[in-house]
Amino acid sequence: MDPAQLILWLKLLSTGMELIGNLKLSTGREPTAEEEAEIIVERDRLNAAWAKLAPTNGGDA
Amino acid sequence: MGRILTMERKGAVVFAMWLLLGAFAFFVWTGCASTPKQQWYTGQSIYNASLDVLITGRTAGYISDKDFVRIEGYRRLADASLKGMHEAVQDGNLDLFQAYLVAYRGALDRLVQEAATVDREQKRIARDKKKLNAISEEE
Repeated sequence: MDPAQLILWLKLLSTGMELIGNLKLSTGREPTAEEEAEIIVERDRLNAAWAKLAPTNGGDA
Repeated sequence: MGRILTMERKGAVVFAMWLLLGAFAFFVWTGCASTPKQQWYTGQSIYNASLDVLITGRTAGYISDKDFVRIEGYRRLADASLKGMHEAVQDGNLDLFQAYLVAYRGALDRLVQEAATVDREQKRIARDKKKLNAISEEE
């Protein structure tokens, strides 16, 4: 297996486990104000990271 | 960055999208996330997880520039819908919340469809290349 592909699968696995943890929390009770703030900070961090990966030539590759 | 995806590589991304949409469908439509705030939190968790996987895929070169542009509009729609859902929860406006929830669901559906379309195109390109190779070998 290509190492980059292995990294993607490992990422998928770890993200999936983290997601299950979050979903378990959110279905058991209402998220606290602190948890709400944390998930918003994480969203902003991910949005910024994704924006940095935008194609510079308009996506004609 | 920007190289064409192979079928195997695309497979991982498409599988991830299906998995995440499936998780969303299960938790929201089965009623596990029963209150609007829980539904928003669930949606936001799934969005963050999807984007995390997409960032890894893009960094590793699995998502081409063309694919990035193709999915970007739906990602923005999902992000804006979630922000709207959160605001509606805070304002206690349940009708607006439902409208944003439908928009978010639509954005995720389209993201999965786009991933599947790209996958089909890659398979067609691979088939065409195989045919061309076979023709050139015969000649």
